Amino acid sequence: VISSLIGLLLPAGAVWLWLLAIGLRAPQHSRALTAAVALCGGLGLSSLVTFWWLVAGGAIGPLFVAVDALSWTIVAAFAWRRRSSASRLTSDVPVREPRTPGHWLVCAAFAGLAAIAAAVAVMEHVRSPHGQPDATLIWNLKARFMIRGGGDWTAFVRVPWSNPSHPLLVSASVARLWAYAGAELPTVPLILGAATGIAVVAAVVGVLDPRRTRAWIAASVVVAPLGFSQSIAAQTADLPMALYLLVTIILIASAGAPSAPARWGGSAGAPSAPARWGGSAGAMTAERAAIATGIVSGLAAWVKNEGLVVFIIAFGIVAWRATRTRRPRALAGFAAAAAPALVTIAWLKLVMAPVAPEYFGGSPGLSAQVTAVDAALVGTLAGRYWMNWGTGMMPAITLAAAMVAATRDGRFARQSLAVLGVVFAAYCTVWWLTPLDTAWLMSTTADRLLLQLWPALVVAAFSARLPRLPASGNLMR
Amino acid sequence: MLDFLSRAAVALLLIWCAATAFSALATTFSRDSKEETRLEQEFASLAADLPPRGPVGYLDPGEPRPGPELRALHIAQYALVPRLVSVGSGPDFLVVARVPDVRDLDDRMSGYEPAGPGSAAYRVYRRR
Repeated sequence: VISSLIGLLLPAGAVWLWLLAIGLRAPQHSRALTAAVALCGGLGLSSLVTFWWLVAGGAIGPLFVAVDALSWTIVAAFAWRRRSSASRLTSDVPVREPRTPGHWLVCAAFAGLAAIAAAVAVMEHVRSPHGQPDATLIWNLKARFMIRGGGDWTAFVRVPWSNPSHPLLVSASVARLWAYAGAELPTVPLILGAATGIAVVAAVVGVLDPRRTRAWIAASVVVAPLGFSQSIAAQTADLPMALYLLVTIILIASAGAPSAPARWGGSAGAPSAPARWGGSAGAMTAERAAIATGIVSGLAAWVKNEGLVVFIIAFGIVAWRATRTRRPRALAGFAAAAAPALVTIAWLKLVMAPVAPEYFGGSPGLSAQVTAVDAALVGTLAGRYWMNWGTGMMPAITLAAAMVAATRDGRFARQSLAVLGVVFAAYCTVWWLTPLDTAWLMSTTADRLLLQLWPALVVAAFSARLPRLPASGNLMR
Repeated sequence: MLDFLSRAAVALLLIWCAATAFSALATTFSRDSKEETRLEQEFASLAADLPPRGPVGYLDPGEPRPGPELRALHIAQYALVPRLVSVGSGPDFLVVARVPDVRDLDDRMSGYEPAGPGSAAYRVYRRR
């Protein structure tokens, strides 16, 4: 287990150091957000390396672990050297704000709720060590083929229920961590789920500023429902999808400073000066912001097919901003950063497993049909929406997010709801077009898809009075 | 007044969260299902009687339908990776549910013989 933890933290740490080295980071008080972004990058990039190692004919065994660990250590060492010189240029001054008893009370409430969520996850794991059905049908099944299959690891393509063309971030990560652990421990996917859940909370708290009470209220709301705590032990890709969606939205929002886009990068942002996501001294260059968005949104598409929608939205926003501000380098940086994940997805879907997803009939091409939308279907969705996230909690949070979006300073909420609205519309389109029994598909997927939206929705609801982003990208206050 | 209202709203929200979290805890506590773990271990124990890779047939008294029977097929595939498990006979090796009437009534098993002692509910057969 310790070895798998090392395997998990090594690439995340290396990416963190690189973020610091190139100046892409949150201010000091929002290290939690930097950690969440680093986990996204580390998890995703290490899974890409694992996939291409397999494609190149390598086995996932001790040699792989040695090469992988050495590579990430070297990457971290280079980043550390760059960071050492870059850190001298920063001027983050820790801000000490008085904490009221109420603040500590809310923090204690969060700690209690997080403990309950952890207890639920552990109980779930004890009850179902191999996770929810999709884990053994799809995600861990592929991880086992990667570990056990040797040169024939792609045989999972011939398992019809494995959804062969589904992206492989989770499967490759589980296989990689199993290799680090030296055994197929069921606790390894649980550790991955726990790390993802912690990263979600870190992103929520980090973006809302951990010094502020509302950040901890929002975190309490995120972890309370059964759907969230269960997902930690589910060993599926939905919680990672929620993380990548949330972080993509944060990056899109932090990169969007329409008030003074010209001051980003270029002549105003000296290349040697570390840019920041927040704080008052640094200016995050448009190119660097676009690179971060490209990496995370590209990796979102490597988590699940839904992530492709997230990537397309991110691409559209970055392209629009690049055109508006006449900064084509930002778009080029975004595309270059997303390219590794996109090339991998293309290889998987076009070369390795050219099979349409199950919900489009599992055959090449879009063999879809339109399903009549009736009251029963709407009722099914409404029931899930109302009941399964703590009675009425999701509608209440949606309403709060909409109210915040309607305010003058609700820019973050407006952007979040716009992105989440498009993603939700994509889910509905699949339900509408699938040749499968729509009621069945909806009943088996709605909870998991709502989970993907949940953390970002909560952040939107608590983002009231986040000031407009100035040129320095001061998102986190 | 506004301060009091906002504090009250926060308190209500946290109570709501606590109720939701305790409900989640109670729901999880009331569940008791280790069936899949047992099945996975049972199928894994059959691996010794099977070749290390290749196709494996899977026979159940009936056609696997959504429910426990189909789930057992999925668990069999999960346990026996990298072998490829598919419904029906044909491959040199079969995993057969140990139901008394399957061997006698199902002509799909003609030409096969037991390959090992098997588990409580399943047994491996190989082509003669």
